[in-house]
Amino acid sequence: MVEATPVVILMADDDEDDRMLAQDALKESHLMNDLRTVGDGEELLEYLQRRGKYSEEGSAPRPGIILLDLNMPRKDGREALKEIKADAELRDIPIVVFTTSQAEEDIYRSYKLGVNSFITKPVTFESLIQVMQTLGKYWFEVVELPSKKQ
Amino acid sequence: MLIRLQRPSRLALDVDHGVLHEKYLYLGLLALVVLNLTTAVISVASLRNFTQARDQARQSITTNIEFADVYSDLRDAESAQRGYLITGNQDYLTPYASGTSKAQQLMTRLRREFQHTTYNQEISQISTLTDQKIGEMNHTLALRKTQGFSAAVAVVNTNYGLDLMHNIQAKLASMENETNASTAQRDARANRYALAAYGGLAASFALTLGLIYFLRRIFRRLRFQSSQLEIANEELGRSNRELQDFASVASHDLQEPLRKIQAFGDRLATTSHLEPDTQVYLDRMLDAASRMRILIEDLLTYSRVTTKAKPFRRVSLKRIVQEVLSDMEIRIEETGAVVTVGRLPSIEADATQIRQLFQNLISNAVKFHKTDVKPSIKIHSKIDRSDIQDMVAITVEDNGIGFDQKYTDRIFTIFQRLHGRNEYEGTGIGLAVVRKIVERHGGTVVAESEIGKGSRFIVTLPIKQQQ
Repeated sequence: MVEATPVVILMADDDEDDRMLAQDALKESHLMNDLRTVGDGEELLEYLQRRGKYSEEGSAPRPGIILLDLNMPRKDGREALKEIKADAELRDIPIVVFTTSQAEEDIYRSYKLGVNSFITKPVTFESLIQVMQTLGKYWFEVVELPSKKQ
Repeated sequence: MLIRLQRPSRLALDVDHGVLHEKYLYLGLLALVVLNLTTAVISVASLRNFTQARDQARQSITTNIEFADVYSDLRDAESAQRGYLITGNQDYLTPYASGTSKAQQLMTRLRREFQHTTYNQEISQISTLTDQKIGEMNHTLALRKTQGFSAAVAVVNTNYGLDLMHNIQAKLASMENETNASTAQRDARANRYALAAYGGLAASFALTLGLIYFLRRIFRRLRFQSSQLEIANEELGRSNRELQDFASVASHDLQEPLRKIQAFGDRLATTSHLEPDTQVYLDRMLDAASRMRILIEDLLTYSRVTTKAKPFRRVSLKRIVQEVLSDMEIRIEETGAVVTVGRLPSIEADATQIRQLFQNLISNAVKFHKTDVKPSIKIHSKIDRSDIQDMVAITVEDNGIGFDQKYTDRIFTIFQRLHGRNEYEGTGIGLAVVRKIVERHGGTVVAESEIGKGSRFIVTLPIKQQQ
C-alpha cells in the first residue's frame, strides 16, 4: 500500500452548497486530502493552466483528481472536459464527473470524451460521505496515479 | 392546468369545402362518361339510319325505274296493239309480243323481290292489273283478227283497257310516293339522331370545361392546404422544442432547490440531537420534499413520451417483455409471482416506449396483488386483421385486488390514484404514461376489472406504422 500523501482534489462546481457539502463529507470520511474548488469551467482551466488569478507560484498545485460538475455557467463541464483532454499536459489527470444529471446522453458523451468515471451526486449526506470514502479509497489507495511532473 | 379551447381554424373549414369539390368532380366525371357513352350510341344509331336511308333511297330509285319500265313496256305493247287494230298489219304483233313479255317478266321478278315486304300486296295488285291489261289487249287483238275492226274497237270503247292503265299508273305512282316517304322518314330520323349526337358532343365539351375548372379549384385549394400544413408543422416543431427546453429546465432548476432541502434536512436529521417533535416535523418535511422530487421526475417522464420519442422500428414484443421481466426479477421473486407469456408478434414501434409500457403494466399487476394470494399474471395476444389496418390486441391480466369498473377513466388520468399514499406506493403516473404511449402509436387501451377478482388491460396497437 502506497503511503497516502495528501493528494489535491480539485472540484469544479458552481453550487456553493454542494462545494460545502463535499468539503464536510470529505472531513467526515477522514480522508486527508486537500480539496480545492473552482466555480465554473473558465476558472477550472485557469487553475489548471496556472493563469489569471492562479498565476502565482504554488497557488494552484496540480490536482491528482478532478471532480467535475457538468452544468456550470460561463463554461460548462462538457466544454472544459473537451479542452482538458485536448491539452497534452493536462490529459492524464483522472477526471470523475460528479453531477446531478442522470441523463443517458450526458453519461454517454462524458465517457466518449474520456472521463474516468461518472457519478451522480447522491441526495443524502450519508451517501455523500460513502461516495467520498469510496473515491478516496479507490483513487488514492487502490489505484496508481501518474507521478507528479514538476 | 387550464386548457384554452381554440376556435376551429380556417384550415378545418377549408378542408370541408375541399371534400365537397371532390364529390362534384367525381359526379362530373361519371356524368361525362355516361354522356359520352350515350352520344356514342346515338351516333352509331344515326349512322346506321343514314346508311339504311341511303340504301333504301338507292333501292327505291332502281325499283321506281323498273316499275316505270313495266309501264312503258305496257305502253309500247298498247301502241303496237293500237297499230294492229287500225292497220291489221302483222308487223305490229312483234313489238306487241316483246312489250308484253318484257312487262310480264319484270312483274314476275318484282313480285318475287317484294314478296316478303310490306309492298307485297300492292305489287300483286299491280301484277293482277298488268295481267288483266295484257289479257284485254290479247282479247282485242284476237277480236280484230277474227271478227274485224269494229268488234275490237267496241271493246276499246268500253274504256276497260284505259281504266286499267290508269289504275296501274296510279298504283305505280302511289308506290313511288310510299317508298320516297319511308326514305324521307328514315332520313329525318337519322337527322334527329345526328342532332342529338351533336348536342351530346356539345354537352360533353361543356362538361369537360366545367370539370377542368373544378380541377383547377381543387388543385389551388390543395396547394393552399399544403402550405397551411407546412406552417402548422413548423409551429408544432417550434412548440415541441419549447416543451423540450421547458422539460430540461424543470429537470435541473426545479430539482436543485429540492435537492438542497433534502440534503441539508438530511444532515440535520443525522447529525443533530433533536426533540422528538422536531424530529417528526423534520421527517415530514423531508418526506414531502422527496415526494415532490418524484412527482417532478414523473412529470418529466410523462412529457418525454412526446419529446423524446424515437422513430418507429420493427421490434419483437416477446423479447421486450422478457427483458422487462428479467429487470423485474427480484420483485417477481419477492412476491412469488408467476408470469405466463403467450405468443407475441413483432410490430413497428418505439422500443424504449413499449418497454416502458410493459414495465408499467406488469409492475402494476405485481404491485396490486392480494395479500394472501400469489400473483398470477398472464400476457397473451390476438391479431386482428381488417381492411384498414392490422392490429394486435395484447392482454395483461392478473388475479389481484381489481378495481371498480366505474374508475376506468380515472386510472388513466395523470396523478389520479385509487388508493392512499400509505396503502400502495406510486404517484399515479404509470397508466397515464401507458395511455400516452399507446396514443402515440395510434392504438387504444382499455381496462376491465372486478373488485376481488383481478384486472385485465387490453392494449391494441397497429402492426405497421405510417411513418
